Order: sequence, then C-alpha cells, then structure tokens
Amino acid sequence: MVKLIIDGRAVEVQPDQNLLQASLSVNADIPYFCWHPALGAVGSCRQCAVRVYRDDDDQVGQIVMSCMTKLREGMRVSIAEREVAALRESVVEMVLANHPHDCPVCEVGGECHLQDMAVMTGHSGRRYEFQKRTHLNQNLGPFIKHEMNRCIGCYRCVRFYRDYAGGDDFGVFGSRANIYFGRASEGALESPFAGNLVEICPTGVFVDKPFSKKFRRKWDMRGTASVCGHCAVGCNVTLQEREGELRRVVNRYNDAVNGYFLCDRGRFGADYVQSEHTLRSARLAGSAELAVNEARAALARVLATPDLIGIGSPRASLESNFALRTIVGPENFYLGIHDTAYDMLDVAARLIRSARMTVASVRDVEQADSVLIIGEDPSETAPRLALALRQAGSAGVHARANRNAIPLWQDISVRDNGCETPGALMIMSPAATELDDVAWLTLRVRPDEAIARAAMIAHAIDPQAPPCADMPGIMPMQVEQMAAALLAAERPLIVVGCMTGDADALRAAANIVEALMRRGKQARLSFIAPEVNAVGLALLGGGRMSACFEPLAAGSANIVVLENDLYRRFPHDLLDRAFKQAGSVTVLDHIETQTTAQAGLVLPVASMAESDGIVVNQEGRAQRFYKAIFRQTPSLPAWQLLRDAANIGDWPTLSALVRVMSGTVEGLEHIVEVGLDAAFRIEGIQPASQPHRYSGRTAVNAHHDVQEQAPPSNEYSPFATSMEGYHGAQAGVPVPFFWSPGWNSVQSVNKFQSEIGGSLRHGDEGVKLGGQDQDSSGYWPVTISPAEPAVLLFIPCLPVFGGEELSALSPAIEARMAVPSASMNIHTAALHQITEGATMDYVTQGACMRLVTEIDDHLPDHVVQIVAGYPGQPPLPGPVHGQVRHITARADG
Amino acid sequence: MYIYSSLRTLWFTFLHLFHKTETIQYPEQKPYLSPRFRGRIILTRDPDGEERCVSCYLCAAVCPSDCISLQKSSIEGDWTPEHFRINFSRCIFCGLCEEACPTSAIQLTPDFEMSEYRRSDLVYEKEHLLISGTGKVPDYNFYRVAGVSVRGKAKGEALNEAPPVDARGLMP
Ligand code: SF4
Ligand code: SF4
Ligand code: SF4
Ligand code: SF4
Ligand code: FES
Repeated sequence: MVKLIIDGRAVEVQPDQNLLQASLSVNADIPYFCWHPALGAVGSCRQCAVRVYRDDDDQVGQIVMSCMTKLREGMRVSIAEREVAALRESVVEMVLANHPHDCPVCEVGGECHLQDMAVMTGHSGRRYEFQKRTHLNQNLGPFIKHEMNRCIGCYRCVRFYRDYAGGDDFGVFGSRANIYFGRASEGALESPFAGNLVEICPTGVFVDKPFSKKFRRKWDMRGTASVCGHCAVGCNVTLQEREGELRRVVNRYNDAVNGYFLCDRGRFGADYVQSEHTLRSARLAGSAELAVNEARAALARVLATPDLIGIGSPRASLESNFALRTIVGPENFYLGIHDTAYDMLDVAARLIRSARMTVASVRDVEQADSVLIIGEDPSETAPRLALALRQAGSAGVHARANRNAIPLWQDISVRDNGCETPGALMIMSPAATELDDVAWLTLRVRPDEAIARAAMIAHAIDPQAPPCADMPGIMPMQVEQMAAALLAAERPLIVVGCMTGDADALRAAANIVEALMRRGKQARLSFIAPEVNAVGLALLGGGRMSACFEPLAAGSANIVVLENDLYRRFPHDLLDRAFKQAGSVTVLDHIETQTTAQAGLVLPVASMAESDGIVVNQEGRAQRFYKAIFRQTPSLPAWQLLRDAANIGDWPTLSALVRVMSGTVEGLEHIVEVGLDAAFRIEGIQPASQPHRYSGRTAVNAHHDVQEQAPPSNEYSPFATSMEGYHGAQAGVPVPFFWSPGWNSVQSVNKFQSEIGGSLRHGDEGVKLGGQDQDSSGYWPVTISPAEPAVLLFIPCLPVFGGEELSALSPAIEARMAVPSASMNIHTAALHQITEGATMDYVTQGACMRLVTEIDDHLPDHVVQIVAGYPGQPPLPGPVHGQVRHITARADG
Repeated sequence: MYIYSSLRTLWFTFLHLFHKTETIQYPEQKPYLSPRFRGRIILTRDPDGEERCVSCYLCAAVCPSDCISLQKSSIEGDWTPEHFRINFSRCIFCGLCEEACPTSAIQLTPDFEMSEYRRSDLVYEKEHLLISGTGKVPDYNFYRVAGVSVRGKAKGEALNEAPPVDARGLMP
C-alpha cells in the first residue's frame, strides 16, 4: 500500500494504479473522460488535472494529468486547489463549445458522463457564441445509432473497438478539430462487441438502436438482476423494464465473469421475449386455445399417467429441470441434448466436481499467459470468453512492459513497447477464428487431428500421460513447441468446447492440465459448454437421449418436453417416428418451435426474463436470475406449473424447492447459497428495484382505471417491484441499477467496487459449485477416432448472430443473420466440381441442406464448414461425414 | 404593547368596511387571472406549427405527484410523443413541469374551470392537451438550435452551425 495525502486527507491505496484511479478508489472524485479501468490511460482528454506537490515544503506544486501520474509514497495532491479546479472547468467548457444542444433528444441524457462531469466541475454557462462544428452520421447497422456531433474526441471508442476487442472496421479519421469516429464507409459494425460502445462512450455518440425505439430515461425503468441466457458464459446483465416491456439489456458488473463488457448477442438478443415467436396461450393439437385452468387440468391428467418420460433442457432453469426430473422420476428423466454434447458434459461435470482441476472463470482466462485452444472457435460459441482470450493474447506484451518497468495502465507505452511481441495463443481449429491475430501459432486441422495433437502434447509434458498412436501429418517438433510454450508459462490455460463433437477432446485437454499441474504449473481448463444451463443440467444428471428413444420405440410412453426444441438437435424423421409412437406429447415452452408444433398439448411457461431461477455457467458458477417482466396475464414458471399439476406439497416456494434439490442431488449442496431468499429484508425492508425518480405512477394506467393499482408482487424474489424500499449497496444484494449521487452514468459502478476495476464491494455474484471430489487426479484414457480420409467431413459453425436459438428470434439479431452457407477450400471444391457461389445439396444422415457454396482456403482438405443453428435448419450437432450433390434441374425449371 | 397591537388590528379590519370589494359574482363575472396563473396544462406547437414536445421525459420526472405519463415515438429519429397523458385528478398545478420543459412545449394556462363529475374524465390525453398555437412562448423552436437532423433539417442547417466537416479533407 502507498500513502497519499489528498487535500490534507491521508489515505492508503494500492500501489499499481495511476493517481486518478487511486483517488477515485478513496472517494476523492476527479472528473475524467478518456481513462477507463479496463482500457488504461492515454491522457488525451486533459480533464483529470490535479496539482501535485514535490514535498512538504513545496507550496506551488505543478499541474499534472492524474491519469498519467504514477504514485509516490507520501505524495501530496490537491484536487480542490483553485487554479487547477478552474482549469478543469475550462476544459469542460471547451469540450462543450462545439457540443450540440441535444440533451432533451439524446438517449444518454440523464445517464451521461459528460453531463456528470460538467456538473462536477461546476461549469454552467456557455460563453462561446460562434458557429458549432457539425458532422454527418453513418448508418452503423441494426444495433448502434450514430450521432457524431456529440463526440468530445476522447478516443475511448477506438481504443475499445480496435485495441481491446480487435475490430478493424471502425476507426478515427481526419485531423485536428475535425476528427471523426466511424467506419470508412457506412455499414454494420462487424465486431460482436460493438454494443459496448454504448457504455464506453462518455457521450451520446453511440446509442442502443432498438432501445431508442422504445426509449425511456434510466430513472424510469425498473432494473432487475439477471443472467444472459444466450451462451454458457452466463454474463451478468440488468434487464430494464417498464410497463411490462423489456426496454434494454445493460451490463451488470461482475468481476469474475463479464467485468465491464457484454457481447452483442447478449445485449440485443433478449427481445425474443416480446417477439411474434412468444408462446402466449395453451392449446391442444388440432383444437383452438385452451383456457388456463383447462390447460392445467390437461397437464395434471398427463402427469397422473404411468410411463412418463421427461425431457429436460439446457436453456431451462435448474429448478424447472429438477421439478420435471422429480415428477417423472430420475430414471425417466433425459437431458434432451445430443449424445455428443451429453458425453462432453458428463466429463465436464466430473471435472467441475473434482477438487484437483481448476476450471477457469472469465477473469482467470484474461490472466492466463499461454493458451491452447483445441478445435473450438470461442468467438462463436462463447463470445465474452473470446474477448477475455484476446486479452490473454497480450500476455507477452504485458510481460515485456513489466520487464521494462512500464505500469500496465500506461496503455500506449505498453502497446508501443510490445508491438513486436507475438500473441500468447495457440489455436488448433479447422477454420480461421477471430482470435488468429493474437495467436503465435494457428493450425488449420480437422477435429480428430486436433485431439491427437492435444494428446501428444500431454504426453510430451509428462511422459506418464497416455501416449497417442501416430497420426500421419503430425510434426513432433510442432507438438514439442506447443508443450514448451505451455511449460514456459506461469498460468497456462487449455480451452476446449463442443465443436469437436468428441468427448476425447475434453479428456485430452484435462490430461494436458493434469500434466502441467504435475510440472508445478497453475494450469487451468476452460470448457465451453453449449447453452446457458448445460452444466447445471449435467450436474443434475439424467439419461442420454439415445437411451430415451428406445422405450419410445417400444411402448406408448407419455413424453413431457421442457423448454426444448428437439427438432434443433435430432434428425427430424427420428423425432417424427418417436412422437407418433408416444402415447402423448406435452411441451412446455415460452416460444413457438417445431417441437411445439408437433405436440399434443402445449403450455406456455415463463422465460428467464419473466421468472426466477438458477443457471450454472461453464465454470460451474451457479447464478440467480430474478423476475424482470411483469405481464398482465403472466405465464407461470415451468417448475410451478409442474408442481401444481402434479400436486407436490414439498415446494411451497422456490427456496423450498432449492433446499430439496440441494439435499437430494449430489454436487448441488451449495445451491442454497445462491441468490436471495424471498424473505430477505434489509433492516426490515425490501430492496427497491425502481430508481427513486421513477415517474408517471399516477398516470400510467389512468386511461384504464383512474385508481392507482398496487405494484405487481413477486412471491419468489425479495425485491420490491416499486421504488419503495431500501436503496443502496448491501452485501449479497445484486445491484438493480448502478447509480450514485453525482454519478448518473454507468461509470457509477466505480462507487460499488472495493477497488476501481476490481470486485464489487459487497461481493461478486454467484456460487462456484463442485470441487468436492478428492480422489480424482490421474489421467483420462483418450482414444482418437480418425476421420475417414477423402470423405467429406461436415463441420458445424454456429455464428454469433443466429447460431443460438433464442437470440435468433430477436429482431435486431435477425437483421444481422447472413444467408447460411457451406465453405470449403478450393481443392475440395475442384475435386467435387463445385464452383464458388453454386447452390448445392449437402447431405448427411437424415438431413439435406441446400446451401450456397463459399470458398475458404483456410479450411483443410475434405472439410466443409456449414453454417448451422439458424431457425428451421436441420440439426448438425457435430462433425459428420456427408456428401454433396448437384441439384438436378427440375422439369419446371 | 399587546393591547396596542390588538387594537391596531381591529382598527385595520374596521377600515376594510370602506374598501372596494374583492368578491365577484362568479360564474357570471369572470375574474382577472394573470398569464402566469397556473391552471389547465396545455401542449403547444412551435412557430412552424409542429408539435413542440420532444419526449424528453423531464416534465414527468419533475412532477411531484407523478401524474404525467408519455412515451417517445417508436419511429427511429422521431421524438414526438406517441401518447401524452396527464391525470388532472392528481395534478397539483405546481408548474414544475413547465419549468423543467426545455422546449416550452408544456405550459400552464389561466384556465381553472376543469371540474368533472367523474374522476376518470380528468385524465387528459394528447388530443386534449395539444393546442394549435405557441402559447406563451411565441418564438422558440428547439429543433432550430438542436444538432440532430429532424423534419427535413440537415446537419449544419441549425442556427449557428457550420457545414458538416469533411473527415477526408487534407487541408490543415
Ligand atoms: S451527450 Fe450528454 S451532454 Fe451531450 S447531448 Fe447527450 S446528454 Fe447532453
Ligand atoms: S465517439 Fe464517444 S468514445 Fe469516441 S471519441 Fe467521441 S466521445 Fe469519445
Ligand atoms: S451470449 Fe454469452 S458472451 Fe454474450 S453476453 Fe450472453 S453470456 Fe455473455
Ligand atoms: S418536458 Fe417538455 S419536451 Fe420534455 S417531455 Fe415534457 S412536454 Fe415534452
Ligand atoms: S482522463 Fe486523464 S487525460 Fe483523460
């Protein structure tokens, strides 16, 4: 710790920060624009000036930019001194000289960092009376609205977009006072992290476009802590709601998971809850809508039959899955995922339960110093994790800065100093990935080849690890190089996901981690699970689906499907047969799917935004989401619907169900610690979820009924749905909206952190499960199943936009989905007489996809990468062999 | 001392017998109300005849009885309110909305004759609030000074604005 004296007050701060960060951490406010805790300092806005004195005798001191100033023991600093305060005010005045008169029609008004800083410096009157500079705007796609006039030239946007997120289609143009932040030509911002510009920009240049269409000021929306449901990273989000409508999704800081950033799928994908795909009413096949009580009675009749089969879902909460599992009996509960995912998740669950293996959090990933990625493209399957991997890619740059004693917050110096340093990633994947530019080694190999190499690396690190039979084309030198790179690191990380479609990939990865640990390394594993609660489902346990289809073929079982579109996962003919044989098919879901279309009885249930529950992310972190949207005619959460229909008395409340679950399911003991009980109170009062200035309470419903109605109640959450209740940070209470006096913008998160950029003062959310199995060291057997040579291998690619079921139903994401295509290299295309742009039939077992062909020379021979996961596309759960057929011209042309 | 002040008060009260009477025969006779009297609220139009309100929500935020509810238009770039509702059965005619309004859209008028037999008739929608004139502020047009381009006004065409910068220009 370093001692500072700020305006006569002695404080102690962490030494590795700049003066601005240190002051903010002890509540000494200095206005700033260009510095950001995650981006470091560049000293471009000149707003953070303070006076620093040489020693105790120095009465004059000198004015410095606090963000560019290193800490010195006993440093004497003045923020309040008159001259420097006047300087800061004049900087704001000059920044505002060209600023448009836009606040009333500016989407960030009321949560604008520029407004806050202007107030903080005391600047209030405009003196500049000459012409204002103006700029033309660009159309930046369906996510972001551009209003360049409001720019103050702080450079945060380019530094985030290019330096932090690795985008290259956005930059700064022009010179002197004319600089322009935008794209070379109009068009959608390509980076899947572009949405963060909304929160990064201290002004209203970048605005959430879908939000602008249902705009409300920050103080007018109820904020609810939730978890993003669009991949297994489980980023923490705040859902902001008003009048029963989800208005927008904003980042909710969690140091261990998403930190300051979300991906665009998470930010813009949640509108599926109010799209035309939302399932609103119950129905029986072939008949019209069912009334609510009829539907419940029908469900009760189904649940009373013997021969029940329950199919769970990786996108439903742990509670709902547990309810179904209990009702049908654990032996009749199937996980509802493809067998390849089942096998991988089975291994993943065991690794999470193991006391020896450390599964990396996103923060751990960021801090890794050498990374091996096996057969996965994380930028598609876990975008936020990919952003963390990109930071890990700069490990060499940071190491070099440390060697040269450059503080890591000195952003430009660190980057200039390390510009020649190669990235810290090694990527083995069939297709090019977004992370290739921060990798020193990229190998374009088939999944089986990647797994073989992984097994060899483990063996090269520790000869006790199982060896791997030789495969043609693998250079031992390369394997040794990779092993050496991992061994040279302090915190090596192995990343693997489901794209390989082979649990051996995960076993081989676990072996590398084990081998590295035996060599004394702090090695970690990151497994990219396929969906938001896939790991939770695996920890809960159930049968594999191939086993489920057997009893179905034999008898007339009654199937109950929970929030799962099986047609996305299994061959359609197989399902059609199974459904025909079944006694009855009941589907509970919140969206219309191909499965609901086939069901006998369909019941609407609440989505994540409309219910409470727990999901478990890929590292085994159980996180609670709270009900954010209150509709006039709400759907019940699935667990409650099932409970009432099956008449189970054990779970009067959600907490009771969670307690039962923690008592019955091995590995879920700690689940009771997740989230807040509905009875939780702070000094006898509920925490509030609306800001104090929530407006319009006595008019909003007055056209229906002039009597004011009571705010909606939620029996499962402790949060008051109104502004009446406890405001302010409290231990264990997720923050419904970040706000602090004088800090209306998202930057107010500073005031909630124990140290700036660190964990939240009252603890980061989530409870990490697992780690209880003591006797789990040792190596896994790995078998390589080589792909057949010279036969086409279809490899799925799940695009960020469209590759995930729920977000693909959100209008903004839909607008970003490309036409599905198949890619192969020029050799393979020539071999099969396919030309670029040709539409062909790509045929695998049970599925035929008519796709446009693209040429991608990164792909290995005989590999076809197929865009999968779009709504209505036939399933392609993992690499499979297939054929390509020319479309025979039909008679009708 | 006390006796003196009591007698003095009585004397002044007595003198009122000879003053001009303030009571008038309402409703036959209308009282004079100054233009800044805080009565029925209206929404006004700018000098070009366009709706002034830009859905900034400041009036709703400042309203102590929370009786203003509105929603910005769902059309991109259009800031006129989709609906604008004031519940006059809650309004206390404090005038804070008028004070907060950055566009002079919302104004209080010297009309106080709004009583109704049913409370629900005191809920006014935009069609009841919007008048066709500029009200007390004849000249102000927010969009002429704002930087956004709306209603056919392009960038650089607002008051005191330079033409848009050419970001590709090479001139120093
Ligand atoms: S960026 Fe801030 S200061 Fe500028 S117009 Fe928007 S709200 Fe006002
Ligand atoms: S667009 Fe925003 S973030 Fe970028 S330089 Fe301008 S004010 Fe800063
Ligand atoms: S989709 Fe995944 S990475 Fe993106 S915000 Fe959601 S949880 Fe985070
Ligand atoms: S303050 Fe004025 S411009 Fe803003 S919403 Fe109210 S009436 Fe409209
Ligand atoms: S924050 Fe220090 S110069 Fe911008």
